[in-house]
Amino acid sequence: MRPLLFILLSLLTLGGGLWVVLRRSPVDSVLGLLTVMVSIAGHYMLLQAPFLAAVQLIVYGGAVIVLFLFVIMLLNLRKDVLQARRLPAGRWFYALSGAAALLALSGLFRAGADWLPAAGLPQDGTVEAFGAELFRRWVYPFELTSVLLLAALVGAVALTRRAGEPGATATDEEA
Amino acid sequence: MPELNHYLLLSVLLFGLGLTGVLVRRNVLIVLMCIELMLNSANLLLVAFSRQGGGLDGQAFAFFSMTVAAAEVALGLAIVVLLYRWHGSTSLEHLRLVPSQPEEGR
Repeated sequence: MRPLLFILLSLLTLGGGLWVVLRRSPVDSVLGLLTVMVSIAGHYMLLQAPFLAAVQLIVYGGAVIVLFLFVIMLLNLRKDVLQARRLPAGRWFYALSGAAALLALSGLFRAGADWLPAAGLPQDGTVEAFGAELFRRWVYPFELTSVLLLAALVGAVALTRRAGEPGATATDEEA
Repeated sequence: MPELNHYLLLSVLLFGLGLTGVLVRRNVLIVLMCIELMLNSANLLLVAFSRQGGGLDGQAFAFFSMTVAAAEVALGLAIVVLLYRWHGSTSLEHLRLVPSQPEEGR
């Protein structure tokens, strides 16, 4: 069962990656990227890193994908760019990959107890073990990431704000 | 039981896909997505090595890598929005950030 899951997840990963590279429309590519992210979360479960699997789903599968879709929506791209060469096979790919991902993930979570024989060992990436490691050994890098994220937040706002908008300073208007 | 070699193969293939996309595609959004593919393949390898070697160091590295990637996507997409406002498209085809002839510069 475990090799089977690995092969299934790997096929999903590579298929999604191919989809990202080959499809013309950015929206299609985002959906391929979502497939890759979800299947890699499944790989993390197989590698006994359930915490990272959850983070992968939340950060990549949630935030990053939605950010991409938001930007595509904001850019208001031309219709022919978004709907270029839409193959009828596309929806079958989505349906199949969605079903396969669901199957794989539900299988992973249902039979988790059998496949996580190392549960409780210190090297197991459960939330408890990982949190203890993170807040002992890696606490300074962890705190530094908050500075990084704040810088990214301020940077993104400062970059995309138009000069002259409410809240823009005098130097912005001159620029 | 999948071994480390299989994860190596998968990760290399995924990285190759991402690299190909960065080199071949001309849509800046898709180029960003391909960079994400490469980052994810590296993360997968980190976790696989962490599993192989015991300990959680590889997972911690992957965790920080995800954080940096999230910040990178936020800034990268902000730059894409700027590029679109300035250039009118998301294509890298005719994009020239540095004027070729300085005396023509506006």
